[in-house]
Amino acid sequence: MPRPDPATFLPLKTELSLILLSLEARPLHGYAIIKDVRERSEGGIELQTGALYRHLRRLLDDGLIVEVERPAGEESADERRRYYRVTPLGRQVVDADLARMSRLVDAARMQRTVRVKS
Amino acid sequence: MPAPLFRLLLRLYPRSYRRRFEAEMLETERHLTAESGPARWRAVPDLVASALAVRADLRRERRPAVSGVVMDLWFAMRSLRQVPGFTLTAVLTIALGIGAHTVVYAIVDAMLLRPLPFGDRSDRLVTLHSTHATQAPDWGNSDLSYADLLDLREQSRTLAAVEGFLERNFSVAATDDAARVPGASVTPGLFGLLGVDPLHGRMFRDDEAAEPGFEPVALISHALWQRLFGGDISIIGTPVLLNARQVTVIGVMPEGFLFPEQHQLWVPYASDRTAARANRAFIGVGLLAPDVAMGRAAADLNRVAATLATTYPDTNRGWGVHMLTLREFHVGDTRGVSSMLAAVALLLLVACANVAGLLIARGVSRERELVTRAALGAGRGRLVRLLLTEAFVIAVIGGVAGVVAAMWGLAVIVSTVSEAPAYWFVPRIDLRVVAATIVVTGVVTLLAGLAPAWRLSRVDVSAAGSSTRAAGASRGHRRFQRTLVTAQVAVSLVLLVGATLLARSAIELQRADPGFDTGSLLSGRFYIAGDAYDSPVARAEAVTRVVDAVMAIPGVTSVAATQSIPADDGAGTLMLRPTGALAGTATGADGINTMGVIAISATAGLWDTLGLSLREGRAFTQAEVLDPLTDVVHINERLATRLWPGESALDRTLQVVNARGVVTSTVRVVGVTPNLVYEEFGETTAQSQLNVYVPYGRSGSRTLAILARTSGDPAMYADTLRVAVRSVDPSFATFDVLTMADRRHVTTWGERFLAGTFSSFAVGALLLACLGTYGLVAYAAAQRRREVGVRVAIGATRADILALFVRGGVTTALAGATIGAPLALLTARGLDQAGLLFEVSPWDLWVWMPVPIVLMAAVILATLEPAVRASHVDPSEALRAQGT
Repeated sequence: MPRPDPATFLPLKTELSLILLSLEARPLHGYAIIKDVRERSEGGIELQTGALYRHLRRLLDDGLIVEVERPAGEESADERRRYYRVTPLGRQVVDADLARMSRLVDAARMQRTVRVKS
Repeated sequence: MPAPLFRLLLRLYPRSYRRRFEAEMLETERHLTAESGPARWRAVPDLVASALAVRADLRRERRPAVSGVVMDLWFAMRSLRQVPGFTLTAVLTIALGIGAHTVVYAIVDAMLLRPLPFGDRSDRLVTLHSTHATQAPDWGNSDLSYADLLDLREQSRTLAAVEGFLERNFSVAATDDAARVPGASVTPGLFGLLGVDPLHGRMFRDDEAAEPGFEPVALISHALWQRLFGGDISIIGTPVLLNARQVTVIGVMPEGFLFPEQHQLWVPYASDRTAARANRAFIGVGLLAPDVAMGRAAADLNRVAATLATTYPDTNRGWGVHMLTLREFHVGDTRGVSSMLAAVALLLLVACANVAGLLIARGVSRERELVTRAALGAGRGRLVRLLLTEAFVIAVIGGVAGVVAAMWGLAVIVSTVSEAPAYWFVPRIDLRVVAATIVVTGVVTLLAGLAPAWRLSRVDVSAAGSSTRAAGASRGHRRFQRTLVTAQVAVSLVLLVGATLLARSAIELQRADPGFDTGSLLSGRFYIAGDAYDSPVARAEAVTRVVDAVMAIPGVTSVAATQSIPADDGAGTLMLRPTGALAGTATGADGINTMGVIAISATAGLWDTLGLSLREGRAFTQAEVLDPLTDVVHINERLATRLWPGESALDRTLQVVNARGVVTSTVRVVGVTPNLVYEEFGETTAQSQLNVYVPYGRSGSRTLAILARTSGDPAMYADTLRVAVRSVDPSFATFDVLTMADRRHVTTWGERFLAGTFSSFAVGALLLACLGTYGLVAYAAAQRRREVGVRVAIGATRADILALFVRGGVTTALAGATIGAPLALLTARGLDQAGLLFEVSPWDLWVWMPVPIVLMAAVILATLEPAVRASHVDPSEALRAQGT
């Protein structure tokens, strides 16, 4: 199978960016992802169960995240709990998306600067 | 949310999804409920919406991935929908260009490109004619003699078969009323050569072939079978009255088949080959042997002609054989249609330039969007593709609209055609034409879209949003736009000049003085059918009775029968040699002191009926009209001046010379007539302007025209004329009854059509050029709002600003006119050389004065509105608008 081009996933939805960023740091399970995203967005984004798993399914099927073994040291509160982390492709997509946003910000900043000058 | 409710809502998800995530989702929801209590109602809409979204996701993923092209198309349509004004203008412009092109192409296709309906033989069918060394170069092809036809059949090595036909008119008495039917005498094998079999009945047998007037059998067309015999199959084998003789119908040809043009009835021809070698009345039809080129066949036929000239010097010396493809024979003149094709190509170019200008102007207004796209990673190729796709969508919608308009336009055109063309010439918009239109649409996309796409895609991300750069770019775009408008004005000038010349020519043609008063003149034709009129005297008496019968109609003041209607018909050639005058009149290439003139037979009343008086001499007497051996003639003034300049022509004698150069009779001039025009206007030849008139009895032709001068509207007499002619003999069917004014209208149809088409193309191009200028000025005004603000702030008046923008538009138009003028001159000369101009000089001041003025006026008018708007700019507002 040919390696998918990270650019084909761009631009990412904000929720997807945040989920990928959460799973980049360490493997997490569903409820932990919701809490992590809540923290990262400073309470701005409150994922609900339905939306979360819809996103997870897409990320899994697109190969941006994978399911992993329960990390050592995580207590087993529930057998049904599953953990996910970012794949190398997922990491590339996050990087490409961040670069895109950064260029956008630059472009916007440049415009504002020049306008003020004229 | 309580677990049971959650479980219930989970049923909304697809089963596979539930199997995969249900446990996890319950677990996660349990945590969230623990966190914020069971009253988590916001989870309900989330779960429902997600379930639907997941289903949609899965459905979409199952479908094959949408390709980039489809994405582009979808995107282009969406973005075009956001600017309906722009889209509508561009689409209508393209529809105009493509519609016009489709109509013209359908005509060209039917005329020149589509295979003839004779299967694999279509490309191998030729017609055979004869030429003579002394023929004036502008004289058309002569026909072949039947004997020569048989010799060509036997001696040619390159033709697989040779047959021939002779056009004739038939009166068919199917009911009480005689119907006149155009038909032909054909050699029995002609339809076999064409590969067409009868639908019902059988083909001719060789033993049925006979001299005209003695044929025992006939074949009829499907249309005639339906019209006269109601499609009754029992007509086959039944005798019908054909030219007052009993002839058996042996078959019906397939539906749609007519030959050679709109002819509907055929009888088999044969003759004694020795009798008629000098009688050249046949058109040969040949089938080239497989893999024989036209050139080789022509050489072969010339060889046969040379042999015949040696074998039969009396009749064949100086005669050659001329071959045409069947299509050339039918179509003949392609100058009109090729000039139309050129004109429509120009119109299409103007339309493309216009849309290119529109795309540029729109592209500039969305520059921010393009810069952003480039910043987000779209490469230049991607942007070009995006912009080209828009041009493509416009071209396709415009193309579809154009084809629909063309179907309507073509129907209108076909319904106005007044002279029946060959039966297979049926212009229609079929798959062939649509395929060509698709190609044209592709070309239009590239022409209109490529340059704008290339220019607009040149965005510089690092300098994105810089207004200095934007100003530079838009200056460049403006220059490009100006170039486009210049080109449009130039092409419009070419089309306008061409159209005006052709329109002037058509008007001249319509107005051309035929030399007599056409106002209250009715004309018609009839055919003297039947064995009873085999003797010339019997025919002359019948014609006299017809003239008397028409004269008896109340309100008819004067009547004449003549072989040829002036300003419409030609006539046969007569070779004359002035008795005793040996010097200065030689016209023959072989040095024989003879000249070819056209001879027209007429009854005594011709000049009275035309409302003209003879320049010299007297009219024919009734006795002369009845006498087949009379020696009196009239000659027209031009011939008289040519033969006896400055002297009276009365009582001079002329010798009539046959093809062998032998004097067959001597005629005496008893009158000199005014000059009339024979052949249609614009088709006269050197020979057709030299006329000899002979009393009817001397020629005794069976097809005649009748002219009647009436008091009051001549159209009112059409029916009584038919009745009067038939009262002499029920088999005399009158046809082609028209007032002279209507006849003029019919004969100038082609020219009027060409002028009309050109004019509509020119007006279309002019409108587009004005639209382009309008867009240019409006765009410039918008771009330079700030500049205008500054100018007004430092004291410029409204008039100054108005002048600024009008000057811009006018400069562009002047540049276009300057480039267009030499091209228009070339076009004018080309039209003149193609013989499409009648009595109009290509340098006609009445064309060259008004056309550029109209063009400039239209362009200035187009600049006015946006210029006025620009001059009303409030400086403080204009400066503030872009200053922050």
